Amino acid sequence: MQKELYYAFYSTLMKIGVRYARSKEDAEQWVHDGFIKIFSNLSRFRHQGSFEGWIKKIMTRTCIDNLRSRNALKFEPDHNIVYSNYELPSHDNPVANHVMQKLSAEDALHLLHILPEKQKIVFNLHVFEEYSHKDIARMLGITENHSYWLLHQARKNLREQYASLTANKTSI
Amino acid sequence: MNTSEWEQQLKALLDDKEYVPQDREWERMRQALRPAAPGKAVWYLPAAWKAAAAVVLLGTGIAGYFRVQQKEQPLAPPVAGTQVSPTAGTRPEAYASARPGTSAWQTPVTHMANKRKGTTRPQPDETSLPAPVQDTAGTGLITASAPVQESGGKQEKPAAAATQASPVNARQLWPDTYAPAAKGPQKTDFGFTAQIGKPSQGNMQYNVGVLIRRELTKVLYAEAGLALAATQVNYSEQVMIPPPVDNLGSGVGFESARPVDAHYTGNMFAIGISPSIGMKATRNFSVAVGGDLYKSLNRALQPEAPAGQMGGYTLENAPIPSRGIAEWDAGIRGQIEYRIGERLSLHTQYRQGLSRYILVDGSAYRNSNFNVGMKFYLGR
Repeated sequence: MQKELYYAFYSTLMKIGVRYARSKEDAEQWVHDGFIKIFSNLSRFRHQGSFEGWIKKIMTRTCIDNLRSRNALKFEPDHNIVYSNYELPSHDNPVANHVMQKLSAEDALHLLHILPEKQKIVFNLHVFEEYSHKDIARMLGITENHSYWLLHQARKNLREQYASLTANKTSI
Repeated sequence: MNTSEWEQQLKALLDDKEYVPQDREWERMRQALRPAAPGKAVWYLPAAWKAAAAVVLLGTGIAGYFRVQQKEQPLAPPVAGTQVSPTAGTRPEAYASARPGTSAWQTPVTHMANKRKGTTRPQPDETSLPAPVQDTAGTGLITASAPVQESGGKQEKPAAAATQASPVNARQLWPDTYAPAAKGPQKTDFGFTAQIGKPSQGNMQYNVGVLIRRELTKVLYAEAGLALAATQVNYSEQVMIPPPVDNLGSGVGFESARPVDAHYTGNMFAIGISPSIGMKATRNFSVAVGGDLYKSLNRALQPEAPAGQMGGYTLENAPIPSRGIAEWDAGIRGQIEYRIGERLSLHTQYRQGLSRYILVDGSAYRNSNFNVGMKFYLGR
């Protein structure tokens, strides 16, 4: 039973882990930690929601805990915090579809990991895990405004990095 | 493509990537899910088996000893016309010749015992007992004739009976005189015992039972008990509980795992046997060593935790690991007993647990205790 569960959801958890961890080895270790939490709390799953959603939440929390234990979230300086800037307009700096299609998963991960740690986490939580800024603020112990600002900075940085990356690819 | 579409494409790009677990990863997970260290398991298992084997061996030895004793005790009455060996047969006569006026059938032991107690044990009439007869036929054997029947004042000649004699044990001829008396009393007592004590893994322990005691020699005795024990187990450990996980996706609580002082309590009942061997140091003091083996009647411990440490959990849904006690609990014990009356004695004992009592992965919590109690013997 545990083995089947492990093989069935390994990829799901690994996809989350690689977005937060700097290396594949770290991601594998965090997936390992996540599965241990899942197995030890399996009896507490109340069947009131999606099982996949439940284990994704556990995995996300495991990643955050691991990052926190490394003080990755604590000593990172936040420069130029301007809380009045919220999310970018959806039409801001559009990206060409044909360029996007040239990116691989490794490129996407590379882009993510270029981001500073807090920005990466907020971007991951908001875009991939679809948490609200209120939940992100509670999770990371920051204010909602700070969460908005981090997301804004993350998008801005991604655009810049993405532009340089696609410029290199198109030149090739 | 706007930001939302770009992010969705980025998301899809990463979601499409598949990761296949390697077998070594699963093996590592399997090991983590079963954390029993092989070295410790090897250590625990033989300890329990050794204790069980010691108890079985001790019980078998005691039972075997009693069995042998029971076989030796029933003695046949003197057989008419029996034949005995010279060494055995000459002893009464030798004693009689050395103590003129003393019957050859009255040994020094019985003679002195009768004299000391002032009792007049009915002695067999010398004229009616078969008299040992010297070897007249040159066979090297002494014969004992059948009880003489008074028939017209004429006694049957012993020599005539010698031809009808059959070899028997000397002890059968003189069962109460020359039977080995060195082993002392073979007395069996039954009684009750009650104890109260302090276990290492709890608050109090109460123990009541019945016991049987057998005097092996004048100084050694064997004792076995059947007891019901009630132990108030109180065990604490610090556990890390993760933040509450919400099934409905509301994203409640994402703090780190927090330490919680979890207490486990339970009134655990067990029934067991406790054989031991004891030695009388003085008339009233005795010491005993033995083992015991208890079987738990209930095993689950109830968790408790301070309400202030529970975060968003209640006690019912908090991810506190369940704890329990082992089904079997083996131990060795030493006991000092003081007899304060013919039937009543007080004792104190220390028990060292040999097997794991509280089941916690990777840790050995044994059940040792210190008890005081009393024994009441029936029929003394």
